[in-house]
Amino acid sequence: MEILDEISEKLQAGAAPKVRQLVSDALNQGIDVKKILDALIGAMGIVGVKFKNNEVYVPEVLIAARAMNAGLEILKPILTETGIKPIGKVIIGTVAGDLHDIGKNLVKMMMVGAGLEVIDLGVDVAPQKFVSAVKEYNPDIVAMSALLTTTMPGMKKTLEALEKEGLRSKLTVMIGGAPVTENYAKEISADIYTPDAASAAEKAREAITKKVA
Amino acid sequence: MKIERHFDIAIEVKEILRLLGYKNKGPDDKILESITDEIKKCHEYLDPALAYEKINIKEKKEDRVLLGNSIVFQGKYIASKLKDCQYVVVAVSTLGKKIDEIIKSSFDSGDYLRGMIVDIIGSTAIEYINKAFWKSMIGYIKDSDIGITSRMSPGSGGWDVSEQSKIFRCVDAAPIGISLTDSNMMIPLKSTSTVYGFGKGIGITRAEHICSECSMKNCAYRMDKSVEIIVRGKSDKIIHADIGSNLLEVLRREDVFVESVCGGRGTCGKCKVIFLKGAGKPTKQDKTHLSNEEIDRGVRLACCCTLYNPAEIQTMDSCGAMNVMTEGSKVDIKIEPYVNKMYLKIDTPTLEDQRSDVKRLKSAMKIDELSVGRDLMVRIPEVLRENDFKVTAAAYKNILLDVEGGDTSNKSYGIAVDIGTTTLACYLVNLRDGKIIDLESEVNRQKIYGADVISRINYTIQERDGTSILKNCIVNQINEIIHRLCKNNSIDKRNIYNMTIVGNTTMIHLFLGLPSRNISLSPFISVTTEPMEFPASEVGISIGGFVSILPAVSSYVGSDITAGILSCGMYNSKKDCLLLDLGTNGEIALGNANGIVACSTAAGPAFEGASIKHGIGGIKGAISKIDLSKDNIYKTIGDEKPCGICGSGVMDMVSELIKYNLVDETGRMADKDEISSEILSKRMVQNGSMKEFVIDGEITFTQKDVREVQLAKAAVYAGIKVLMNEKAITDKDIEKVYIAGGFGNYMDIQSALNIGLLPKEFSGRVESIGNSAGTGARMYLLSRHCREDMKEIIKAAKYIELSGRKDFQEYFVDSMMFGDSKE
Repeated sequence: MEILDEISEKLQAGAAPKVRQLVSDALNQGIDVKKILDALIGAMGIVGVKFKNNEVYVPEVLIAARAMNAGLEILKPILTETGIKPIGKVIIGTVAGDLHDIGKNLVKMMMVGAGLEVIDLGVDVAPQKFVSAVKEYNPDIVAMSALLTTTMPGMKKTLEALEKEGLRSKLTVMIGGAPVTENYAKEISADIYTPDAASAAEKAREAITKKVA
Repeated sequence: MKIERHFDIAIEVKEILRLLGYKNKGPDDKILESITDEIKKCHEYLDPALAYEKINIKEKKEDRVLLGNSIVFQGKYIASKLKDCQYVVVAVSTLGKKIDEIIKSSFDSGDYLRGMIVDIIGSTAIEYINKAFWKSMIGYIKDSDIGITSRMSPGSGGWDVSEQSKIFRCVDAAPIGISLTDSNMMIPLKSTSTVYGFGKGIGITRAEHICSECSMKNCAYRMDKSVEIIVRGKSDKIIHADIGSNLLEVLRREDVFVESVCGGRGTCGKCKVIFLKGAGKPTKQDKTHLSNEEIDRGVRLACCCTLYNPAEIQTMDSCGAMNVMTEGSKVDIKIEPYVNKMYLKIDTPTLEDQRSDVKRLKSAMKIDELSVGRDLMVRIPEVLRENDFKVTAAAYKNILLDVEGGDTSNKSYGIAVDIGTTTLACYLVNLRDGKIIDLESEVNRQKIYGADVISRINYTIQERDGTSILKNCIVNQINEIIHRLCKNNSIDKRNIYNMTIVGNTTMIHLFLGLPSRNISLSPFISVTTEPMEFPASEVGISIGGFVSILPAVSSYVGSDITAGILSCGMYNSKKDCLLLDLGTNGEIALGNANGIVACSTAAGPAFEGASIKHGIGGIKGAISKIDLSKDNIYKTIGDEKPCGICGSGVMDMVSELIKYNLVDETGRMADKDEISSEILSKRMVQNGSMKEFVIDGEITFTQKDVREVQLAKAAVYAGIKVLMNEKAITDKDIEKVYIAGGFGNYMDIQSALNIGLLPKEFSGRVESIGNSAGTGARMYLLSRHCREDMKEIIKAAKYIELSGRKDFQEYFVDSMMFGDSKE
């Protein structure tokens, strides 16, 4: 289907108005909404791969994500109508004491681009707030960000709180942020560490598909 | 506590690109534009402020430091850092809360790119403030034995973040709007807290952070290695440039000459370089200014080229090959310089005659008020005795410059220098007979920082060290020329006792490293226009004596014009004379022995080829003559293959276009079908929306070029008219019209009359006098009477400011037309 290829191409180029137009056109042509959604997600995936290969850089990813959102906005009402659900749900937040949100925002953006539903708890999120959000939304993944060595322990505390409430086992917990390392993830028994936003989205998607399978 | 709020924050695009992670290539134009736009408008929401306090250290222990205000910095890390310090400066800085809001709202509305760019601009800006503050502290201690530690902040290095609250007890951050959360984070987010230690003899720790020593190998902000740029030329040059840096800036720094008329703003299209290897994607500006053939060949504009990959380039070497006008009229004056070199047979001392060495010299030289420097006095006893008291003394006015053994009185030289905006000419002169021994001229190397005075001044405003960069540029160039002149003529630099310098007021300011900003802003005030004199060493010139700078009338009528007035003799004439110096600016002086009025018009760089599409300076291959009646319609300098069109060619071109009705009196180029001659009709082509007259192959003359010439010639013509009004005289009263400057010498006077640069009535009265500024500088060098005359010229000259004058505007509009202007 040519129009889907074109959507993919325009999304990768970050042409938001064009993507919006093309998505409407595709719907008018009667193309299955799921297929259009997959085209958007697929295109964002390609951008993610290019980013990891240093073929494009953060700004290109950002304008592609914006184009993705433009397309998604058109699709959203129809997706709700037809009962198509996102493949998974993520709760994301910057841990207690930490006010940095750029990194977290990038991860959120990429996850949305990967077709996940993301609930953003914002910054300075205390362990208890993560716990009650998990209870309320029943997500597949909890993602935490910290930008300071001094706030990193907030991740451990959140994990302990989830454990205590008996919520930990059914969740995948992801962590990231400048001072965070693979080793730290092991140390506090988080499930996934990723060094950048693109791989975070990819790993999250992988984790959810594995769980479903 | 003190608060600083004035920070002239300058954000560099390359820094933003680096922080965005660009490594092997740059972004496309759209993203680049978003970045440059954001940098332009970031000052609207940046609200920088820094509060600081100086606090003495009371007591130091192994694991803590007690401050004079009873606050204790805790921990081995901070204690070891401050162990040799006597006091600390504690500072907090912020960009205010507006930027936080913009970042948040950008992300919330889905404009992720803007959010990210603003965030990174914020990070860069806050570092900029900290660096500026650091520099100001260094300024205070640099001449003392007090040193400074590296920068320390709670939460970085080994200093616990919980100490943050202590910083806020040292400095009251409330007045600049910073607050601290319970988790020791600062709000607004773009805020920092820092501590510097000061101590005797600890040296200055320059780097705040050294990437190569940092263990965070994956850090996105890590400074990467440089790229290697090979510049092919007479001798190859290898340059290591930071990734993401701008090619033009790199080339300037490395003294590689590239034309740059607009000063690197991407508007003139002159800073072409050829990439032999590693050409990047052409930018928007490349596509605007370069032909497809050029782009394919690897030609790019240096000012728009960001370096990401190793490359091999070649510049369009036009420097040095330029035909610089150095010829001036003969100097017919009495040779009587202020430099006085005399062979002396001094009485040898005896018990009966115990006068000091200096006293002996004085009486032999017959100068009572002789002033002698210390360094010279150190040498005098030996020189006198080694040469049996037969020595040659050189003096400038009443200042003793040197004493040499034997008779060297014939070795007395001076240099006259004309610093033009475009060209630099130096005349080595024998002060005994006034003859020019040798001369050298080159393109003024400052040209890579902009073609006209305004773009140079802008450079000094925009670049932190701009003024000193431009100063060093011209001083070094003059010194190199002196070195060559001396070598080629077997002359010792020490025997050059005086250098006279003329130039427009901006050039003089840049030579002296004076702030030139106010020259460019209304009401256009310069630091000085006075005659000046400095020991050569004080201004960095390597000769033995003094540097004398000729006085100017105003910011825009410089000493080049006063020197011209001196050399053409109009200040002695009974009848009115007009002096017209057509360079990058068009300066005009009109008058006689009873008074002179002068003005400066923005003739613009059209006559130097700069604002003309295929315009170039007077280099080999430049089309300098055009005659449409011939089979071969043009001639080039040196009869070489044409590479562009220079000023005299531009003027001929327009004159011929008018003559053959290819341009009407309004300046409109004729359509193809309006041209009766088939041959000429073929030459008129449409290039996009622009009509162009084909001179040869790619070299064309466009409709826009015609407009540029119209503006330039109208400005000059209108300037002449205003001066005549001021003196209440008409065209007929003017006895002589002197055309000065290089371009004036090469231009066809008939063409100048045809296009209306000069009133038609001047026909037959026009005389080219070549480099009259250089001639004036030589006269000033050789004759003390000329220096007295110059004082009179300055007194008699009145500057007429044209901007804002209604009559100038009217004349300007009137004379925009070609053909007989309507009055």
